[in-house]
Amino acid sequence: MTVISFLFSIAGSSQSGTLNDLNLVNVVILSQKEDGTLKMDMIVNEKKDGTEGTSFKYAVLTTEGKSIAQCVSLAEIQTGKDVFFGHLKSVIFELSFLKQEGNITAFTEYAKRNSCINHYVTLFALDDKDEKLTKSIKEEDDKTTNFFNSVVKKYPLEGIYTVKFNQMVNSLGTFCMPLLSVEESIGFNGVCIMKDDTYKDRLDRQDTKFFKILTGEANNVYIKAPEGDIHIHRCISKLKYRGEDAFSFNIKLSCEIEAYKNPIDLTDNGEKKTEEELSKFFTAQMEQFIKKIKYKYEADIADIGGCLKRYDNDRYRQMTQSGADILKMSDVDVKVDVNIIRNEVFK
Amino acid sequence: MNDTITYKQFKCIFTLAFLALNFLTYASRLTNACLTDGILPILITSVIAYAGACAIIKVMLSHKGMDFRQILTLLWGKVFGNIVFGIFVLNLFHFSWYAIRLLSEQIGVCMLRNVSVVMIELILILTVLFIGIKRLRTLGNLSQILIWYAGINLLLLLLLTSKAAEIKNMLPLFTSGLPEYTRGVLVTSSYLFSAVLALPFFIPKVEGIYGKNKVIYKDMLIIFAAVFAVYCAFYVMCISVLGTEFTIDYVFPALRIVQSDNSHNAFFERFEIMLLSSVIVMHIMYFSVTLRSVKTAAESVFNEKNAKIAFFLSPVIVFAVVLFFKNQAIGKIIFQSVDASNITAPHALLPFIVYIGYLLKKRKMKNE
Repeated sequence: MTVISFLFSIAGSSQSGTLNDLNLVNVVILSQKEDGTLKMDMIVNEKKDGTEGTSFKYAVLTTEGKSIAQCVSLAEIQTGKDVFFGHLKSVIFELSFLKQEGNITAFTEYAKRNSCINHYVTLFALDDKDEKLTKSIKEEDDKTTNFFNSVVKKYPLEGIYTVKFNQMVNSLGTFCMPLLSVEESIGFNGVCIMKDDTYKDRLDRQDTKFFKILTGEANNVYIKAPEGDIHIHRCISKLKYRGEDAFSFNIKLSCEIEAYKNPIDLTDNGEKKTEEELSKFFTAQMEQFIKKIKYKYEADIADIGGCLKRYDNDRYRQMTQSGADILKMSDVDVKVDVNIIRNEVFK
Repeated sequence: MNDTITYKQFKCIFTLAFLALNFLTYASRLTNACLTDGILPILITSVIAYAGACAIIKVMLSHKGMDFRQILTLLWGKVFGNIVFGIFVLNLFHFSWYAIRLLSEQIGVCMLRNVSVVMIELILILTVLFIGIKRLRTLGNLSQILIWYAGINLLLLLLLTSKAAEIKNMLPLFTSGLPEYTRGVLVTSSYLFSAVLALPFFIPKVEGIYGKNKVIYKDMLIIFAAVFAVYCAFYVMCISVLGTEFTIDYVFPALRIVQSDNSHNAFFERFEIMLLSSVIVMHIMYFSVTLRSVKTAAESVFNEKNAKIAFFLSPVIVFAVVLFFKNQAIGKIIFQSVDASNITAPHALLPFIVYIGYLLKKRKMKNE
C-alpha cells in the first residue's frame, strides 16, 4: 500500500492543483432562451475579498451554449479553472428549460457520462422569466443567500417533497419537483409535474399539500379543516394493490389541532368523534384530489403504474402492450386514519 | 528455501481474489441480463465455482508432492496435458489483462483525472511485480492485513448506503425467463470466481494442506458463501438505491451507491474513496495471484533462470496487450464486437475437465 500510495502521489502530483484551482459548483440553474440557446448559471463558492481562511460567498458563473457540455467547457475557459460537480447539491430547472422536449434527457445523459458529478442532488423547478434569482444572488440578497444555505448546507428542508436524480426515471416517466418562484425573494410555490420528459402541469399550494399527504411526505404541514387549523406532524402513506386494477391508499396522520373552530369536547369520546370527522374530511379531500390526478392533471404522480408493475407484472405488461391508460382504468380507494396527538388545551 | 504460505493466509488470499474482479461492473451487466433476478445467476455461478474448486482441490490433494503440470501430464498425457495447462495460463493472462484495464480506467476516471491511464497501468504492474519478487509469505501476510481493511470498508459502505435504499425497487421478482438467467450466469461466471483457476498453482505451496480434505471443502464453502453474500448485498443495494434503469445505465453502479445521500457529515460526503481503496486492494491481490500463478507455471516449464525471465516478461506481455487493445483500431473493434463474457465463460469448465481426467485415470488404474 505504501508503494502504491507513493507511486500514485508522484503520478498525480505533477498535474494536481489546490482547491482554489477548481470551480466548486454547489447549484446549477438551467434555462433556455427563445432562440433555443441553453443558459447555465453555476453557483460557486468564491473567496471573500480581503479575508483569510475559508470565508466564502456565492458567485454566479453564467455561460450560454448549444449543449450542457459546451456551457461547462466555456465556463472553464472563462475562469481558467476546472468545473467540479463533485459537491453539487441541487439542480434548478427554469420552466423554459423544462417545457422543451428532450432537455431533461440531455441533462441526465450528461450527468451519467460525467463520473465526478454528485448524483444525489435535489431537483427543483423554477418559475423565473425575468432572471430575478441570479440578480439577487449577485446583489447578495440575504433571503436568497439563506435559501441557498438551506439547500447547500442542508439545513432541514422538512415537509418539502423533493425528487432526487436517481428517482427521475422511475414512475413511468412521471415525476414531480418542488416549484420555486421569485417574487420578493425566492420561495416554494407548489409542485411541478413532469411527464414524458416535458413539463406537464403545476399543482397549486393546496394540491401540493394533498400530494404530500398522498406520497407520505406531509411532515409539518398545516391544513385548514372545519374543526380548526390542523398541523400534521407525521404522515405515513401506503399504496396497496388489491387485485383486478383496484388500489388502496392507507394514510395515517398524526395531527395537532392548533385553533378549534367548534366548541371543545375534552372527553375521550369527544376526541374520538373529532378524529372520525377529520378522517372523513381528509378522505373526501383525498378522493377529490385523486379524481383531479386522473382527469385534470392526467399524470401518474401517485405511482399507481409503478405499484401495478411491482405487484402484478403480467397485468402491467398486458395493459402497457395494449396501450391502456393504467391511471384512468384503475379504481383507487382512500382510507385516512387521523390520530390527534395533541391539542391546544391538553396533552 | 521453500517458499510457502500458511493455510490461513491461503484462505485470505483467495477470499480477496474471489471478490476482486468485476466487482465494480457486474451489477450493471447482470441487471441488464436479468433485471431484479440477478441473485439466482450469482447463486448458480457460486455453486458451479464451488464444485469446480472442490474438484480441482481433490485432484491436487490426491497427488501429494506433484506440481500442477506434472499432474496434468499424468492424467491427460504429455500433449493434451500441456494443452490444458496452456489454456489455464492463457486464461490467467486474460484475467490479468482485464483486471488491470478495469482498475486503471476506474482510478483514471475517479481519482487521477489528469494522469494518463497507461501511467496508472504501469504503476499497478510495477507494484505487482514488486510483490511478485518477494516471497509468497509476504503476499500471505499482506492478505491477512488487507482482508480486514477491505472487509470493514465493505461492511461500513453497506451500512451507510442502506439509508438510501428503497427495497421495493427489487420488485417485481422472477420476471426473467431461462435465456435471461443463462445470460446472467454467463456474465457472472466469466469473472466473479475466475481466481479458481489459480487454486492448483497455490495448493502445493500451502503448509499442512494434505490430508485435510473435509476441512478444506468446509472452509471453501464458507469462503464461497461469504463472497456470494457480498456480491448479492451489493447487487441488491445497487437496485434498491438506483432502480433497475439506472443500474443498467451506470458502468460502475457500485460507486454510485456509495455516494452520500442526505449526509450531514462532511467526512462522508464523498466516501466512494473507501470503496475505491478496497477495490484497489482486492484487484492488487487478484493481479498478484494470477501473476504468481504464471510465475509458478513458468517455474514448472523452464529452469530457474529462464523462469525468472518469463515471469518478468509476463507483465510486459500483459501491458503490451492492454496497449494494443486500447490504441489499435483492430483491438477496439475486437473488444467492442465480441462480448468477452461469452468467450471466457467456459473457463469455469476447466476444473471439471481436469477432474474428469482424474476419474478416468482412477478407473483405468482400478481396472488394471
